[in-house]
Amino acid sequence: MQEKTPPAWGTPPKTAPEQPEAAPADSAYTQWYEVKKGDTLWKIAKEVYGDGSLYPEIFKANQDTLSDPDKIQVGQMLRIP
Amino acid sequence: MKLKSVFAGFVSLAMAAVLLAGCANKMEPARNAIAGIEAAIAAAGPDAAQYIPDQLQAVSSQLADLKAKFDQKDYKGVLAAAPALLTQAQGLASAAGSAKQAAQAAALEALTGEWGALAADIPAQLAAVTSRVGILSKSKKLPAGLDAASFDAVTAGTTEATTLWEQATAAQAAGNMEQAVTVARQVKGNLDAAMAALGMSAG
Repeated sequence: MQEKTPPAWGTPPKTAPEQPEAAPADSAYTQWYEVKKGDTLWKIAKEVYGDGSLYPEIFKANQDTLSDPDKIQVGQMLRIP
Repeated sequence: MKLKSVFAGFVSLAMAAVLLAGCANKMEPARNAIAGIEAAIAAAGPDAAQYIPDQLQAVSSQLADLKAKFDQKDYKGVLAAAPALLTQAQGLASAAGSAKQAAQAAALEALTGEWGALAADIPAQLAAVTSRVGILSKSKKLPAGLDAASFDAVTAGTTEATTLWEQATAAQAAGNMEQAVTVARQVKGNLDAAMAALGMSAG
């Protein structure tokens, strides 16, 4: 008598919860930007990259201190990758 | 009386002949002694001039004195001074060898120190520049102060820096410190230029 194998769809695969990408290690060459009044990540990206739509690059590089790209504070130091 | 005078002349001639013969006997050994010293100096090769120039100069100067003595037919003087000078000349090769070895060890130490500084610095700089170039390459419009030609040059320089850095680390791993440092300096130059063009600051 053959043993029945459980159906493949029986148990949903266990996946690790998605982790936020780690911020890069800082070095002497890490570029920093101090947030000024009226700044947004879009505006900063526009200034340093010439294209505001690249703001997620700045957000990703600062996930250790930013939880929301719309919430930045005056005086905050942001990494500019 | 006449016989006495003839005899005196004969004696004088004989003495002169003996003296001349004595000189001739010493001339060839003196010449050989000088040749031996010259050969010993030549055997030390260009390393002596490069690594122990003062020592070489001292021996050469004494050799010149010896040659002057020879020209003045002071063969006895040449033969008296030659052995000590020959010893000094023969010592030049080993002294040059030791000095060369010490100089090479010092140069290697300096290169190793420079490599350490470059190897501690370049990876982070390369990562920072590569990251910025990658992001800017996705930009629809370049930032103020950076035109397309400059950006193309930076991109090419960064690509070259990446390749060169691989070559430098490979050379270092193979023990070729001189090549490793030479190439790493070029990488550093490329990256400094790229950072300046991109308006990035160091430190």
